[in-house]
Amino acid sequence: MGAGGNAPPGWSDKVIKKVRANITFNADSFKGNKQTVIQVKLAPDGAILTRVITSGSGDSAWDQAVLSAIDATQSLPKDDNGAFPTLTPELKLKPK
Amino acid sequence: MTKTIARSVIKSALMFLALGLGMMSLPSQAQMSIEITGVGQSLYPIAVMRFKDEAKLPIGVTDIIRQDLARSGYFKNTENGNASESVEDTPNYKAWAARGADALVVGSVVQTGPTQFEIQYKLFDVRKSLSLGGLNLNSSADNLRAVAHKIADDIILKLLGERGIFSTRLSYVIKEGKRYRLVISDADGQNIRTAMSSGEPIISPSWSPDGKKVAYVSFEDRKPVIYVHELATGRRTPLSNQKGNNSAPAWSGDGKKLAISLSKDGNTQVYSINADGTGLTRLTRGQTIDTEPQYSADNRYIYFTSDRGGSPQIYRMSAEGEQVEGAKRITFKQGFVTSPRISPDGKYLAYIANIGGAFRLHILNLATGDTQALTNSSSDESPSFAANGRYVLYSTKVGGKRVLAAVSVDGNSKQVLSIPGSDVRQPSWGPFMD
Repeated sequence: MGAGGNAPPGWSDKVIKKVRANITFNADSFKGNKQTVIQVKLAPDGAILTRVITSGSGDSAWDQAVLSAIDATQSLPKDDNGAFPTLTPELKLKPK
Repeated sequence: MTKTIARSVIKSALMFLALGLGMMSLPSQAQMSIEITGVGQSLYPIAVMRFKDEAKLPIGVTDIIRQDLARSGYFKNTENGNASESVEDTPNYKAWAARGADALVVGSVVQTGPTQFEIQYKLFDVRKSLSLGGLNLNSSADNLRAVAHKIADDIILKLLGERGIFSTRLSYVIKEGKRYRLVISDADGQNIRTAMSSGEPIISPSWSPDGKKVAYVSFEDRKPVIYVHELATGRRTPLSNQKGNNSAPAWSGDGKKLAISLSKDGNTQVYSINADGTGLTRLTRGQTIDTEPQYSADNRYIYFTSDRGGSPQIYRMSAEGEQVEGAKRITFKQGFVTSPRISPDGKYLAYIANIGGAFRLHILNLATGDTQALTNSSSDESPSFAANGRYVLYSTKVGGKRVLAAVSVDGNSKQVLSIPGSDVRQPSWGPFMD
């Protein structure tokens, strides 16, 4: 699937799969023109401690949908080696 | 002594710098990013349980809420039956998740007087196992639809973070035989109340920004005259009754002025007038027809239709008139374009274009210049944006009947409003009321 971003691709794929499944949004209604950038902080076990929008998309409904999806995700998966490449990943989300 | 201080200042400055660099290097280490493109699902599955003791009410609020949510284009109802849930208990989130609901709505009805009811509703985010609060609303029997719409809007705000439009109102004209009725309805087209009835046509209703008045053109004096109609009292005042046509009223965002079209000096031209009928000012000075004025969202400009280029197109000028900086043509993609309407955020222009004899609703992204046909019908008229900018209401023909329809600004979700009568037209979508 060719993960974007600079995190290890294998880990990225896992994170993408888990977070995206929780995003509920009609992509065709997207009224913004940018991606939403979210700074996430993880506990050592991967639980999402905080998530802050550092750059909004211009569409509050999309921003809200991704925050809600990250909350529903609750924790991020470990990489194949059982570790987290970072505990402060930055997520960049676009509806399409 | 001075040297020591200087040294220590330098030292602390260096330390500060080192600390600063250290801190700066932290985010760069932390700058590991993941790009996520796409969504999991496009419709939000929601379980709206039948409100407890709803049978006491003359109408079913649960069904109105379900219909509103479905009509919004964002939700999918997972429950359509009569099962109720307690408003007191904490829901079994796992069980609801297993039933495919991301959110749960429960409610109850208590009769507090002969025609008085207390309606309680609660909203739960099933995925987060979280109560999102709710509302306690007191209502008389004749205001229950408004209660249902208010609950639907509250659900939309809490789950999607945007204002719902189900508590806003529509105005439109129903023609029955030889009578014309200007009516006000709920946003779903139901709950119709007559504002004015006439044996002559009524056209171009336009809401004041506070939702308290509607300006329109009435032919009751056998010629078009613009009236301002106060909805609460039914009081009507002629706003403009000049020689010739008085047409196409549109309010400024502050409600202090209206832009109108008059033919008193020959060809129809755009004017502005204060809401009290004073201060008539001519804004266009063309040799052709200039009409259908609309204030921009920031009130700095007026968009209007003009055939100065040979065929009707949309132009924009200063709200002070075209003598300020001329008029700029806005539409280029189609040969015949009328009925400009600006979205509440000022980003989109809806209009009607003639495509090979078919009059079709279009939308133009003013920043990018991209245009899109929102329908494939052939007789669209009178577009009007919802207060949250997500939908356009318009008049069209279905099976030979003139009806009202609403389409989302992406063109994906379309609904024909079920309004009795075979000739319903001239819709105008009202503003938020609070």
